[in-house]
Amino acid sequence: MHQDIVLERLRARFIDRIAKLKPDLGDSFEAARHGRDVTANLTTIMSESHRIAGLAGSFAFEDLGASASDAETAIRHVLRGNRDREALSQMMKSVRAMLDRMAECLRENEVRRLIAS
Amino acid sequence: MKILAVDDDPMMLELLEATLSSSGYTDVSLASSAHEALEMIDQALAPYRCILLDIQMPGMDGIELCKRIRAQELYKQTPILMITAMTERSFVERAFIAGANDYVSKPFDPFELVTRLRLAEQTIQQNRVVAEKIFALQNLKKEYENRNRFAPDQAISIQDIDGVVDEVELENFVLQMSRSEQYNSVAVGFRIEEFDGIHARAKPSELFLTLTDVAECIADQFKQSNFIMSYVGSGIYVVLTHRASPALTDDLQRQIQFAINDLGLEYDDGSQCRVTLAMGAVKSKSLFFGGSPTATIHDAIESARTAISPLRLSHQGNLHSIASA
Repeated sequence: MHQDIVLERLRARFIDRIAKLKPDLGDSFEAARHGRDVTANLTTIMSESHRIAGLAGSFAFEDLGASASDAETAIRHVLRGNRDREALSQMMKSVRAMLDRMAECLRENEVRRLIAS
Repeated sequence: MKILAVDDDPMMLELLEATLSSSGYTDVSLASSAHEALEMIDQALAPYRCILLDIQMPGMDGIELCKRIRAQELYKQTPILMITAMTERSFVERAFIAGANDYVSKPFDPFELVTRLRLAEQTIQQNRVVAEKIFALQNLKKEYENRNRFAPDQAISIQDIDGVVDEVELENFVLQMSRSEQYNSVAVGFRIEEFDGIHARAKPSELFLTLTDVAECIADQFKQSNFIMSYVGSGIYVVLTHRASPALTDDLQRQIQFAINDLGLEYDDGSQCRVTLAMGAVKSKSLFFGGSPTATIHDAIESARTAISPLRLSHQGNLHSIASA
């Protein structure tokens, strides 16, 4: 019982984190896409993707976790110097997918909250 | 079980703590960086029994941290589990090379995490059992060594070498010999030089093996003819053989010394155990003068007691040459 409460609190904090991160990661992604501080911005997205990938599944957001893991892998591939068209396209696709999943996860949570209230 | 969990994400640490706590692991310490973990390990009053590490952390990563923990004597056997979202095989391989025992993928399944922890716990218990057995064995060995300690001048019994008997048996053998047999026999003694030093340094079991090896080297030289020999203590062996034994050449001492050198004798710590053998004069009984039948043996022993090896003689000769130059 106690663990359920702790997990519910952690889940709520995780959603808060996603809500705060989503616009920030969107900005970093746009900045990188327009060539501004590419390495720094991609590194930020990669490191946050890594954290999301590690946690999301534990709060029943498996899809978000999987897309964050894909984004992390694709960005790491590019940061290691693979800058060909395919690698860049894969990276953009996977980061966009992760951002979409983050939005979905927030919507789902909003629905749950409304139902609960 | 005292557990240390290290992850740079506070939420992951809380999740780990909650998962572990729900499975009965309540003694969990949390560190949010490698440096904090190392400090906690340094300051811990009792060592952690299991360590959970995230691989990717800013600054020092989990792999480097794992290496540093493993370098500490107290943590050589402690189970280290990597908890990682890094799906790349190379990261996991590096973690194992650094000393990790197992890994769990993030997002972790609580059941899997706890199962792996239980396995780690079993490993600890097995290690403890092995350590206790090793400790008991060492104590037993020490006790055995102490019980079997013998004085340098004590005549010990050397077994399983043809022709080698105890001193009493050797004397009894001489006493039952006819006068002509006594006349046809000679005795010669051999002494291990600086035996007291070897005795002081070697464990009783090592010393026993060394004395047996040397006895075997001596016996090997005499095996072409009848002989009987004994170890009489103080590093001295006495051999009784036929006057015409082919072994009795000017080269006898050198041949035995070669055989000893070939053995490459070592102490238990791996350092060389140098055994140099001195040979006494060959002693025989006069046909016309009486005396104790065992006198030949005692004469041979006394001669060996004061004999000097050719190696030492040449060393002394060199010193003499240097001094007189």
